[in-house]
Amino acid sequence: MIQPLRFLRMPSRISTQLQLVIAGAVALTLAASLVAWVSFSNVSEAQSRVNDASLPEITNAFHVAESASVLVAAAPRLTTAEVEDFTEVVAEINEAGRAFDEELVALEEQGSDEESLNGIREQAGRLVANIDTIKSEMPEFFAFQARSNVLRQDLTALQARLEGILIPALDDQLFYMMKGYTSLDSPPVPVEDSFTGDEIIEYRRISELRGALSIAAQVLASAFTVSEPELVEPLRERFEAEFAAFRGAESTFLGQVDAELLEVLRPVADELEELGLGEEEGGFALVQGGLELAERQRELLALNRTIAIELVEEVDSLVSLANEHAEAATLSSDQSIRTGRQLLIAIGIVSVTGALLIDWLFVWRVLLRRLAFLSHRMRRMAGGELEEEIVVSGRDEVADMAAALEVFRRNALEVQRLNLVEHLAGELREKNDELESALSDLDKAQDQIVMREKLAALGELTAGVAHEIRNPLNFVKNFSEASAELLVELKEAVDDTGDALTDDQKRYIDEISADLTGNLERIQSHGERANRIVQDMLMMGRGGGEARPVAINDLVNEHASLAYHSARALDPEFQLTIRQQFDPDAGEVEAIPGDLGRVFLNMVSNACYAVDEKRKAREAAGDLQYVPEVVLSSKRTNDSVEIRIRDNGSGIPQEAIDKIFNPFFTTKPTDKGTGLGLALSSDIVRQHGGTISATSEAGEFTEMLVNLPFKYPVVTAEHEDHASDDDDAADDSADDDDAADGATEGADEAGDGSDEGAEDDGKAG
Amino acid sequence: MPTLTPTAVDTGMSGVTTDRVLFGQSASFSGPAEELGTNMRLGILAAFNEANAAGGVHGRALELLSLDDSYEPETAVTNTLQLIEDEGVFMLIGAVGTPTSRSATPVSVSAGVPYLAPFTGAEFLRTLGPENVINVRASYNQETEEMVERLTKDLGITRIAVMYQDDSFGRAGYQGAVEALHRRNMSPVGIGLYTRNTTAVKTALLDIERSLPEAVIMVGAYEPVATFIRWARHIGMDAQFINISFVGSNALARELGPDGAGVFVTQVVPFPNDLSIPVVRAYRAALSAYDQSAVPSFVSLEGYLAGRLAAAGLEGCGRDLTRECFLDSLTTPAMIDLDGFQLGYGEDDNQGSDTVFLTVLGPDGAYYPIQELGDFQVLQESWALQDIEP
Repeated sequence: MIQPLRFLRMPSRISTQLQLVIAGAVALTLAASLVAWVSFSNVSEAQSRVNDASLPEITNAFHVAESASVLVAAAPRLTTAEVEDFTEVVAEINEAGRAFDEELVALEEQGSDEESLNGIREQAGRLVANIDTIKSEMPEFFAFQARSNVLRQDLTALQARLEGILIPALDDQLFYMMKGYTSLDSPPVPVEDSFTGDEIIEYRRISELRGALSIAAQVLASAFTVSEPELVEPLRERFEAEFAAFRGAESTFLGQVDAELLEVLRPVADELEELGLGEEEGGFALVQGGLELAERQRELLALNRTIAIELVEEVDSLVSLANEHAEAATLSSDQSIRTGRQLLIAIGIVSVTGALLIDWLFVWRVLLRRLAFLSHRMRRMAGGELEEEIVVSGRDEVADMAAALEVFRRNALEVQRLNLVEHLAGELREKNDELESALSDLDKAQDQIVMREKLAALGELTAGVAHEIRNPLNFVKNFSEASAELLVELKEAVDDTGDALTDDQKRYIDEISADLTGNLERIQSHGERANRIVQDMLMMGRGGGEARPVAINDLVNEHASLAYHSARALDPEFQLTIRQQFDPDAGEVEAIPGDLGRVFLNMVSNACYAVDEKRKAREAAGDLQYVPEVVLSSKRTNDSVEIRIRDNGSGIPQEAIDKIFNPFFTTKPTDKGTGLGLALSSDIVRQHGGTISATSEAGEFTEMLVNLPFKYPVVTAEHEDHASDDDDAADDSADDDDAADGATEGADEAGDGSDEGAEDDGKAG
Repeated sequence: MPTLTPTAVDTGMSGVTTDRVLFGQSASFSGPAEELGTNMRLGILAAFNEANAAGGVHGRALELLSLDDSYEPETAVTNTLQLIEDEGVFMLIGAVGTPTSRSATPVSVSAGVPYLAPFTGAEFLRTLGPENVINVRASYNQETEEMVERLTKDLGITRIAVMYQDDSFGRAGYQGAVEALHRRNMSPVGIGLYTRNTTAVKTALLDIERSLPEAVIMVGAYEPVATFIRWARHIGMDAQFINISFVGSNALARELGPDGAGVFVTQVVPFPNDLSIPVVRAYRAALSAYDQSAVPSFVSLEGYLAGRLAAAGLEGCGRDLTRECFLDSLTTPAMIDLDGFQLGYGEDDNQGSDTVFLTVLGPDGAYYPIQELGDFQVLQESWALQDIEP
């Protein structure tokens, strides 16, 4: 038996144990929550350190770095700014400076490293001062750019004007020298007048003027392309030299060059000189000033770079300091999280282990095992095993249940014993019933066997008797016929005697011969009847052939038609409507076709007789409405087939219906039926394992029902042998006397419907 | 120049909105080539007006924004930049001049903007030229080839001089002429240059006169060319003058007046007064529909063809108009038929027409289309019969 654990000294009741276990679980959960709470508050503390101190510090440091980078980039942006967006750039730089100052103040308030802040402030101050210098020089630079653009455009226009004056002048001068023409309107001078030394000198002077001015303009143009201020001076010197040459030529050439040309040329040349050498606004001075300005800017930018590098270093150290602070805070936060996680894991392990222990020690050993034992015993009790006693030790609920079950078991045992007695009585009754039923079956079987034996004996007897009676009957028939003929001869002989006999004698002889003829006819008629009875009796013992599958519908139909034609042959007035309601699924039945056919032939013949009787009765009463009718139907059931033959003839009286299957019972007049037809049919049907029955209402209808199994019953060897002996005996006796056969032929043909089968048998014999 | 109110740009394509396409033109509307720019614009506008009157191309009206570059390359660059970047034109059309185009095409190439129908026959815009350039007219080389062919064939001339402007345009024409002569185992017997934007051509005249030419191929602007011809005739130089199409035919006729009789000009478009030509009929109808008082000219006919070609390119693109599609539609080997004027383009062929037409100035200052240079003799005889004094 199961022993609850004693060593734990647990309270004996399960409910108390369960409450203790739940209390333990709650305690563990509380411990886990406490640990989690402590960890979270540590993490939160570390986080708030990061949030409150490190993050703002980092943010500010980054803002300082950002503003510093704007300041660092300010100077290059200023120097490359276009005049249109200069104001915007300056505003952005001022804004960045202000933001930078504000971030520094904020950092100071947060208690950042004083030293590095001071370093940053110092470098930033230098940078801003430098930016201011550049900023102040920019307007000057823009002015220089604008001025030099205007100057260059002026120069281009001036060059075009100079070319426009000097090139056509040269062109015209050359053409004049060569051709003497000055214009299209004036006639040419002779070439010897135009092609002179003076004209050649003039051409040369114009060329020199063009050369000097072109070179001067070109030199001034190239001044705008130099990048070093020192290179401007040589160009200015060259420009002055060219102009000196031009001025010299101008005064020297007076008289040598067309004065009109010089007049046109002079203002243009003056303009060019002013463009190059003008005070303040002169091209060379402008270029030089511009280049110096650019040089200064370059230097300031270089200084800017140096300061910027130092500032960026300071800011970087500030940012990395802030980073270090933040990292330290994050580290402590990480530490808290780690500790909390380890504690939670430990509690988790304890909880799981505790749960497993409780499951094993308490749930499994104390509860489930004992409950399983109880359950097992209950199942066995349900299966009827009530003998074994149920014992579970302990003082808890399971032990209580076991005790209750034990009480139940004892009670059940009692009840079981009572039930058994009742059950046995019931069984006894059933057996008794079975025995009774078997006994009644046995009785029936015995009846059948007796009946069969009787029939067989009767058949054997009648066959023997009939054979013996037939010969005397033939003699009766033949000799009565012969006597009738003799009577005719006698009458002729009497008539031939003439007057030898008196009329009275002759009359007396006639009367006697008439009586004799009548007697002979009666002898003949009753002889025939006796013959027919014998025939039918023979039939009862006959039958045979092998059972084989036969289409039942066809069999019924063939024999019905045979019966109809027989009736028709006897009485031309005979009328009948045959209706067929065959089940097309009726199929084939294993049967001896000759025997079974005789059954249906017999039935339909009876029907024909019945309807004809009724017709005759109706006609006699003057009713001509009656239509004789026979309905043939078949119906397939599970293992058999039902055949019904129903006529609307005269019917069978209720008191007769139980006897119709008895041999020699008939409702027909004595010369019409032998009373053996239906007895024979019943015999044949039973031989086929089937049943036969009849329902009828007198004056209305008769319905014959034959139920046949599909399988022909297997007969025992003994029975078969017996049947064969009967057949052989009948056949042999029939063959014994050929003369008798020939004499009975006429009687055969004149017999009723049931004789058809006999004829077949006769031919087969 | 008209200022256009920008409408909402709803397509991703610059210069293309739901209901209009903006074209840009930088050409000379002042200075010695003023007439070329003005007439190109006139012709383009006539074609655009014609398309817009028919409901536009795929529902979009064609608009033209023109800027004056005075035939100065520097200004052409500034204008082109302004048209592409500030005005956001879909494409450029009808630029005038070789040096201007030479400076402007790199700008349009880098922006991927089509450069359609520049009024120049320079070779660098053709066979191996920039991918975004599409030409209408035959090249200067084809014109000079035709000149040399006609001079040598029709008039049996062997002594041919070349007078040209000392810049990329002039050199292009000169180069073409020299190559055409070389193909016939000839060389220019004389060469004369003049400085652009001046009429100082007499030195060139002296140089050419000394070579005793039978014909002078002239590659220059109408003013210096007219001066040259007048002086040449004045000093009794007996030579045929044959000008390249760029000269500006109408301006040349006006400058020369009766002195121009017998001066040949090769043209790259059909004769604008020959109404038997279907495209000329279409052009004249469009021109008078646009401006009743406009005088037909070779240049505005070329402008009209440029405008028609632009419309055909847009038509080929469908509603989803892009620059790539426009260029593809005109560079896929195909024949574009502008009322019988065939423009053939292909993978390595960005020049639509290869046909050069011949014209000659009559004593009445009007041009006459001719099939060969000898036809002028026939014309002269007919004028004599009609008692028209040269």
